[in-house]
Amino acid sequence: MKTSGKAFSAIGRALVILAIAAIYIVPFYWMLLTSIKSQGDVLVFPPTFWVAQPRWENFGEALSAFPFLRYLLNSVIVSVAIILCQCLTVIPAAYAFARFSFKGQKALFAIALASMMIPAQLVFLPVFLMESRLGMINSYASLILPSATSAFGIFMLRQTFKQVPEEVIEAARLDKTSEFKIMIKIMLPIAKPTIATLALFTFISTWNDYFWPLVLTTDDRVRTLPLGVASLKMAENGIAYHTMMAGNLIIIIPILIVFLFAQRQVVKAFTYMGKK
Amino acid sequence: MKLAKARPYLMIAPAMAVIGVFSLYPVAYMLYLSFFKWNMMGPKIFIGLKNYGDMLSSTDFRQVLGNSLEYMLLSVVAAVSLSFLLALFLRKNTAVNRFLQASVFAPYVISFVSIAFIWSWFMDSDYGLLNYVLKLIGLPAVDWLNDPHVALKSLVIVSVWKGLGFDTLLFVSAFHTIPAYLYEAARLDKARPFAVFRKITLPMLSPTLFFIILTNIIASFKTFETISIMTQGGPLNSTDTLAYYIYQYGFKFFKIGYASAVGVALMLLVGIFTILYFLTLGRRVHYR
Amino acid sequence: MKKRHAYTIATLLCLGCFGAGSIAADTEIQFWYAYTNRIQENNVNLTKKFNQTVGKEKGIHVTATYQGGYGELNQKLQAASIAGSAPEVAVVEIGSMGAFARNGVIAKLGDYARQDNVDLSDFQKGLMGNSYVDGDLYGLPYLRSTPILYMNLEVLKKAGLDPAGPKTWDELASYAKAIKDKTGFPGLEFASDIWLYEAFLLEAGTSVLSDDELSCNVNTQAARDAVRYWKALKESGIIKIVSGADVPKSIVDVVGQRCGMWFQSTGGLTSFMDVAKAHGFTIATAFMPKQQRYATPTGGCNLVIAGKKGDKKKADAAWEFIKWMTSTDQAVYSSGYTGYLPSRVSAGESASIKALYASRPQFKVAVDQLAYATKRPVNPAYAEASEIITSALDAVWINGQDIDTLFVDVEKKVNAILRE
Repeated sequence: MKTSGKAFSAIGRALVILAIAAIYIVPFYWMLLTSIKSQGDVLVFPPTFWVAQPRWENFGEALSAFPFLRYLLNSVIVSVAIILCQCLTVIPAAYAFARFSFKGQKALFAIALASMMIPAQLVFLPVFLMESRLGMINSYASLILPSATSAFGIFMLRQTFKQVPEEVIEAARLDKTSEFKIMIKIMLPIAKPTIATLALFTFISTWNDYFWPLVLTTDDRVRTLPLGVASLKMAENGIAYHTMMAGNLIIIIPILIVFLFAQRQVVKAFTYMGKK
Repeated sequence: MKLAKARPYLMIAPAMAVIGVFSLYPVAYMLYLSFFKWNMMGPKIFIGLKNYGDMLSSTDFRQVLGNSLEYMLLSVVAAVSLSFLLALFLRKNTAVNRFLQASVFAPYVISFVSIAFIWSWFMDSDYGLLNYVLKLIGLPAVDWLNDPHVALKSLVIVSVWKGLGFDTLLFVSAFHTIPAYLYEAARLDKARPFAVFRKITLPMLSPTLFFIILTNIIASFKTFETISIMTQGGPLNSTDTLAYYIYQYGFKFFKIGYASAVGVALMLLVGIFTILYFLTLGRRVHYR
Repeated sequence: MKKRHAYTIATLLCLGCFGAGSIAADTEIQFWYAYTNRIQENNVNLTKKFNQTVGKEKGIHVTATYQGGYGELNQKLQAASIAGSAPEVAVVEIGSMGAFARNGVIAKLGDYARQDNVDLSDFQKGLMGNSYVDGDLYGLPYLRSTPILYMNLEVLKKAGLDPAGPKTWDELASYAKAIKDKTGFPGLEFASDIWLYEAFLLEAGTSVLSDDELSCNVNTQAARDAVRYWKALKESGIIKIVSGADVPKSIVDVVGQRCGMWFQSTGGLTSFMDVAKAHGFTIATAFMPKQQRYATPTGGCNLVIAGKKGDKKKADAAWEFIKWMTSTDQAVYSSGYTGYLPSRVSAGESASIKALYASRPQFKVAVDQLAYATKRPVNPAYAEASEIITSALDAVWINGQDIDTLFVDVEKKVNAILRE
């Protein structure tokens, strides 16, 4: 009795594992396959699952469909700049909210939290108008400034700073260490994991951001990769799925590689967050 | 002395400045603009509450509102329940589980644009793999993105697929923080599985659950990439949600006043939901 | 000693001044265009030629950038205009001229034309209607078109049909049925879009908008019956209608020879001929079939000046470019390269075009059809109204909804918008 029960659950478990793997791996395999097919091979029904002659030109065509290197550079510049700005604005703010008490503190913190509920889709029109009037459109600043801080980051980091035991700080203060040194030598090292996690999240969301670049750029100068991928859709001679998937692959592979290597770090980051 | 007093204000100043300029001021400006008729190029014409009137009497707006609520409901329920079940299934730290977790998480790091492309290809009614598989098992093909009754659900599938890894991982981490002695005690008391779930698992997970539901609700209102790339609001406006509707009226038709009014509506909606949420479920979160 | 130095310095200075004149920076201007394939090649080739000839002479350099379809380009142009980064030259779809002119996005061209003695009467009369807004000249006809009927001659032959093609809606229906019966594929395919709707209504003896463009005729018996006609054909399976968003799919069907006939712009002629050649079939073209009468809207784009106001140098450079692009030689080149109409009478009468028509009569159909052509609406609100109408067409033709109930609603909405 017990053994058949165990066998059932083992088979059941195996089936679920297969199902999950299928749901998550097949789409990628399909994308890979499509990216090396020719247009004729793609638009057939029933579809084929193997390619006799891979069409490597698809990748060249995808890369020349938009200014790939320029967009890549822009993505790097914008992402790194935003991470730096966030560090510069979030760390002092979180520290202040965590370790000082000042008038209006609660209200100001509540305002910061409330701003987390305000998505880009709501404020893009006024921001576009504001930046247009200042002639900022199509500059790096136009993409960096709206994301120069992170209310979520302030919230998380404040938690972390609050967890530093009061005694440690007291001891340092008794030693007549300056507030600034306290921050650098004690608080920052403790906060490093949280800051690293936040930086990682910011990088992922900024690198992949489609909406802000879509509405804030009118030409190629500061456009980022997601817009480049999106432009692959434009084709009048039948939907160019093969080029689209090839371009998609080129964009995805770097971040997947980073992810594969950083996997441990990412899981750690989540465990950290889960421990709120 | 003076410096010490000013210090905290100075420290929060940069962050608060950015928030003020790029979150608060735009919301106020949008509220202001909602009382005008303007196309960003000509003069602003004051029309009072006419935009709101047009909005509330527009059948399109009502459809869009309905779509947004339906999308929110479907995506939150699906995301939370599936990620919970998946986390339950994957909570043991085995090699297979780690591999599965990684695969499920992979879409999270990829841009939504790329995901939308992959799925629009997958869901192509004539040449897509999904319909091929359906036909293989003898089921009728589904017009995933062209059938007005199905399209919205297809978009929900895509966003749930993408976000599942994130939520699952959060749940798995949360599972690991439940002290084992609680389960031991329950076993000794011969407690039934459902009772264990209700009295131990759920309360211990409630902070994470609370967080995941909230983030999913907010994310559902922000949905844009899938709509923009896969359906453009169609077919028959069945996938037009508030965020995309604002974009259409603001950036395609250049009806800024009307788009701003819809924006105010969206903000009220998100605000109301958040407050309701904190008041009801928030109270039931068990903190240690 | 000193004198020699002085002479050397003087010579060098003179050479410097002379050299400086010819290495003075070119005026850089941006040119935004729409569509790929042959149309893209045409634009790129002409831009290159300009840069090498007139551009070199006058110190102007043009950079041509692809911006998607007309819809996307319009939206980008407007956003760029607001942001102060609009291109100096752009193509503007004729239906949008009104909106852009009245919003100050594009510049008046009347003074430039007078100053340079441009012969505006040389442009085909039927095309100038959409170049004027409120009596002022805002654009020069560049790539202009009408919709035409395309036929895959091999498929027609298989079905035993006369390659001259159908002349009326009913003849078209019987052609389509014959093709469906003999080959199993739809006899006709087209995308549900506003331009074809305009054509259908004109052919049925009415029009989408009233003459003053302040009300629409979409709910009249004639208009609804026109929509009903195609719906019936679609439901009987002999024709295929795809949504406007799926135009690429209909082209895939053409390429795969899975339809016998299709409605499309004459601007796609050479692209289709390339495809036909590559896949072993031949194309013939014919008038849009008539119901009450032969009639068709025109289509395509004008060239306009759209850059930042106040920069006279760039505006002048933009004018030079536009003037050259729409002159007779270039009109001949564009027409032959793409299949678009020769926008100038002198182009149409040139030896090369005449020879082209003799050897490939497919090019001549649109030109002949011009005699029955009308301009597209200019009301700036038409863009939004078109979206509503196209949505309704999709609902009726693709999702099977009821025409009569739907169009009552459409009429109300469209009238409200037109009168804003």
